[in-house]
Amino acid sequence: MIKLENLVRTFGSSHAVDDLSMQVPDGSIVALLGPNGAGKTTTVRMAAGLIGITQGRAWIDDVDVVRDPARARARAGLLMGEANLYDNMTLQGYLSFFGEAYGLAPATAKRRAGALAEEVGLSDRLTRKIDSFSKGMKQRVALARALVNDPPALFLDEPTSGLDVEAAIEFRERIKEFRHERRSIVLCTHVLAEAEELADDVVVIQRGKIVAHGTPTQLKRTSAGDRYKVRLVKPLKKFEAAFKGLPIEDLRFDNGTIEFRTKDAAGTNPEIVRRLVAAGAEVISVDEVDRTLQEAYVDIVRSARNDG
Amino acid sequence: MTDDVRALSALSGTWVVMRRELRALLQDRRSVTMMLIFGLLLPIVIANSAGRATGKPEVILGILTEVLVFPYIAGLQAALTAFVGEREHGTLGPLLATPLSNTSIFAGKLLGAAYLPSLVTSAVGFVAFIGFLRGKPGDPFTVVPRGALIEMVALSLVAGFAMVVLGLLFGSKAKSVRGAQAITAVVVFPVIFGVQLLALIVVNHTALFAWTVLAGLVVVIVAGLVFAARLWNREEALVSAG
Repeated sequence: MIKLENLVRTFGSSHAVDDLSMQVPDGSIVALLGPNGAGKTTTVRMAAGLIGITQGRAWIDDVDVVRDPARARARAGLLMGEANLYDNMTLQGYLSFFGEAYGLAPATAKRRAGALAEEVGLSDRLTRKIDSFSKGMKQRVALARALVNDPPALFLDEPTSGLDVEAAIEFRERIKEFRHERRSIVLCTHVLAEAEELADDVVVIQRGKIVAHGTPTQLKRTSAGDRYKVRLVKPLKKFEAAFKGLPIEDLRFDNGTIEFRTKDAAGTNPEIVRRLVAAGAEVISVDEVDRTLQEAYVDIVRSARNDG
Repeated sequence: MTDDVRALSALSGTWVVMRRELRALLQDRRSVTMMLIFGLLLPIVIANSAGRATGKPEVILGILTEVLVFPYIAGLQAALTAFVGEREHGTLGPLLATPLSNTSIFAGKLLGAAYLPSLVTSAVGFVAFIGFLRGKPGDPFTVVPRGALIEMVALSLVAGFAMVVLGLLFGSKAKSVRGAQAITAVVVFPVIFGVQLLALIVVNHTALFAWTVLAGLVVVIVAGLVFAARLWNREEALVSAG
């Protein structure tokens, strides 16, 4: 379990993270989303015991990060964007070194290196230097490094950035498996489809503050209201009058359909149908349009920017 | 989590980091070449010219300090690569994510990347230099008074280490290795000329003079290490790396 309580981090007079609280239960993935500079990396660094916390508390697997950052780090695995490996080392040497840095005895670290290399599909390259590896392989090495201490908490910051499509899919499948291994995972990503696919919960931050929090489904439904699509036999612009004076936004006449957004579907949609029928339109269907997390995210961030 | 995972003591952590740095150094062809040049080639070339300085102990001593101090220039470059270079290339991040303490990482890198290789190269250079001149007219053991020789060897080794520590202190704020190298020139040249000057003075002065200078250098090293360790910590390294 990762638990963050009212985290604050200041750099000089500016607040990089401001009163941020969240929980990541065992076996779940929380996506931390936000524009560049929103405070995601600072949050991860604080939570993982890498940098100090100005105010607030954090726990990893019940270890207090503020009181005992070294023990907290021993329980966390970090994968930050680029793989950033020691290219002139062999895979075995590299993973063994990190095993020893986490306190494993040299022989145990060597065994663990072999097991991890097999886990990430690189056992045939154990004695090869890392500089001969492809980008995808290097990212797998970085993942193996993050798992060297078999951490109950994982922080993955842009884990698939720069990977080709196939490698990214493979990587995401592996992340899903972590859930079954009962690890708590914080995933920072700009790939919203990735967050939608993987995350149980999504936290959106802007200027260091949480501006939205919920499951991907909840986030897609809230904010600016749900989107609906009316299909008519002849969707003519002349029916535009049927929508006048109703609490709708973003009215669009597309080929064969009319789309709009409303926060009060129960009150608005039957009225629209009534008006359309009264105006002579032949209504085939009224359906809810599935919003992507990306659309919801853009709305959330824009609205937070306008409010702020 | 595996039960074997634990936060290491500062000493054990330093040992782990130091071993990696040493291994990395020995796998780096450029570093090994530098060590061979400073440890073997340069001492022999210098010894050849020192052989002609018969009867001039201060000159022999001055030349000997070059053999002893020059490896520390390479050591300083290695230290800058280990600290500033790793920050520049992002490889420091994963290391900082481990339970290793700031002290372990700092001391392990300083010892493994800079101090031990410099000390070994310096010692090899000294043996090569002495060996080449053994029995010849410029043999330091016959030309230079024994006391002055011991004092100057000790002074050179401590001055070399002081150069690495001060260089690291001055260069630690640089964003790139190249920038750090440019800054450290401020330290390297005064130290090189300083020890040359000391060699001239030591021969004609009492031992007290040499040991006073040595004590002063030790104070500089301790103060430099305290400041450098304060400057170089997890927070600083991560925040300045962006």
